[in-house]
Amino acid sequence: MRALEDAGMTWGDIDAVVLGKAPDLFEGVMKPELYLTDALGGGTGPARVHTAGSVGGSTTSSPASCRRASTSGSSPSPSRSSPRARPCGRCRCRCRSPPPLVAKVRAVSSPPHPGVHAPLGAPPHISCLVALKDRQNALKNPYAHLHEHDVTFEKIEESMMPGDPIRYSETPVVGRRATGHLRNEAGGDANRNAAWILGTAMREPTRCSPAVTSEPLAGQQCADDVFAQAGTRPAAEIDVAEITCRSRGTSPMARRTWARAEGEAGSSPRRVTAMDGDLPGQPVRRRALHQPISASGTALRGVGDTGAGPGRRAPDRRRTRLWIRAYGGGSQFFAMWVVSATKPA
Amino acid sequence: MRDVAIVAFAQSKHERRIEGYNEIEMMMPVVGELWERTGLSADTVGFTCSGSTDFLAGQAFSFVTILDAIGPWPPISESHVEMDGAWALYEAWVKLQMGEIDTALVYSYGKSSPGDLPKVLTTQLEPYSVAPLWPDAISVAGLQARALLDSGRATEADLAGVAVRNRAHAKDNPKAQLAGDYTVEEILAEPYLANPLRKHDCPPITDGAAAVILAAGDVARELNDRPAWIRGIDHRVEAHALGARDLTRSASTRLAGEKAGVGDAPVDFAELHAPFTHQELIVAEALGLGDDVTVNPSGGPLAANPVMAAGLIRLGEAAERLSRGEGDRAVAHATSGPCLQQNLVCVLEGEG
Repeated sequence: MRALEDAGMTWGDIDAVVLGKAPDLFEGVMKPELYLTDALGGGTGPARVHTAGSVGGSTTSSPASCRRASTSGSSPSPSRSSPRARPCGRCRCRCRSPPPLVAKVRAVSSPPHPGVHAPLGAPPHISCLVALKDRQNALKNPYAHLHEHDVTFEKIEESMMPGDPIRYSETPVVGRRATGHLRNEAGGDANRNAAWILGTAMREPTRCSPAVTSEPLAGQQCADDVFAQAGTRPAAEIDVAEITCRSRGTSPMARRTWARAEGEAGSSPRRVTAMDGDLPGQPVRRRALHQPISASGTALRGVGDTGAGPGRRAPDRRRTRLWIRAYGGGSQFFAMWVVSATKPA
Repeated sequence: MRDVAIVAFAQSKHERRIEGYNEIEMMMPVVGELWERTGLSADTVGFTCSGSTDFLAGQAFSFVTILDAIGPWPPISESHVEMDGAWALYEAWVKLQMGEIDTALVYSYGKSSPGDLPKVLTTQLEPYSVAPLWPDAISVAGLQARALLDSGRATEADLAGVAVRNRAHAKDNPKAQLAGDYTVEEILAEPYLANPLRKHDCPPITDGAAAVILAAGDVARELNDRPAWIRGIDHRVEAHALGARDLTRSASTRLAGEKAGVGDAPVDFAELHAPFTHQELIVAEALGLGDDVTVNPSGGPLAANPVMAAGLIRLGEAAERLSRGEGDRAVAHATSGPCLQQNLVCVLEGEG
């Protein structure tokens, strides 16, 4: 309802509802859109569901598609769409029998670190720096799960390692208190607070692919696709980035994707993602601060960062173009957006 | 609206239990058949979308593994819905409407044999007050059937008649799991499974998979001499609570049918995803299908019901029949949820 209020709309204005969420097994409810129907417009609109770790990014791509299709004159019924991701606050894992030989999440997250950092030439403490920057940014975000007012570089560096080499302070927040009420109107009529969608892309490879690298091919292709759609050169025209990172180590990887996209072959991550840097990353929120699985669709948050959207929590200067990167699996699946605070010509 | 058509359809031989094959192995030959028929490949198809549920596999993110059935390397543009493949087709159709791609692969699968399907389906019920009572899917459908009989709009013999017709139709479907010659009297003589439903009123439990290729405009004409054009497609949902809606009517099907334009011209045949006999009567009425419309010439989900694929199969069966010239205009329907809660309706036309 808050999303509708923010857009100045009612359910009567909504033509399509897209629900994205974590795997149904996480909650123990099969196809939960069915019982959530009453909360999603009283049954008046269609619903459909993505299930993936980066579903926020991919879910929002779908109504974006509808919108672009309708603006191009070939109109399927949806003209406005309301992507939403639901919280995992009632996460009740009922998986009765775990599959054999399954890797623990931390085990999945840990190996990439050396493999990611070494080729990039990133310093060993890069993850701590990223974590510090994000925790500090989160202090400006009233919706963040964690507000660590006394966070310091030393505290992060000293926190325990649940899985070597990842420190606890470098990991995302997961849990019952997560409140991933992500709301937005994707590509609304723009008169107020709209974030205009310049491009959306998704890529997924085989699970057997060499996903654990500093530059996953799917990420590169996805970036190439989304920037081509947006018709933008990242370095020149993107003001801010909102990046899904389950642990701080993947932030340099995203930065690398960025560098490649803007043609900086061979460049290493620079300290440019602070609020006053060339490319502020995660200006107000990020996954490490509250991680409702699947609701991590940073796309939705990112829209708020354009200075538009429900949050209007833009940092100190108005951001006009935003690159959004979400991923799932072991850096396997990628969904990206480019949005703009100003209506494209 | 851009002209988009179903140009190819393939499905597995549906069986009660496909032993020795996992979902990837079940899916691979089906997709492989489509690659062979269209000349497309994972590299060249514009978009891929699948529909499935983790609740059959008992494993979160199971669909990510199944993607290997199509060999996605280098990475592909891909999406998944935790719904019947018919909704995956809807997403692919939207993508095609954008005009940025010309072809799409849609696939779905359901391997129900490893679990207790009626109980698995219980988990899609409201999780606080209904699901904890563990009403199984057949009992829930039985409530709906009883309501329909009590309304006076159908009899148990009508239900048996639906079963007899679908079993007979299925004799011409080499992929069907159940087929044969029965009489209404024979079926009525059988005991109840969940009063008033008898075994023949219920869908079989099936392992199976299906896939379609969508294509737009001239590309569709290149891939198929007589593509099945999607003239209208829409899906609607209604209240979840069984007590909050008239179970004897399907308001969401009616609305989706109107939006898709079912009544705009005569319909030659319909493929309805109505897993239970009484549901076929409810859906046919909601779509306004007259007695002259052949319903479920394939035998429908009573002949084979691979959960999550049975809706997509309705679209594929209808399209294939049109492409063979066995009709000019068809309606395909898919459903999701208990007692026909959510419904998708698609109007297909052969080029004529």
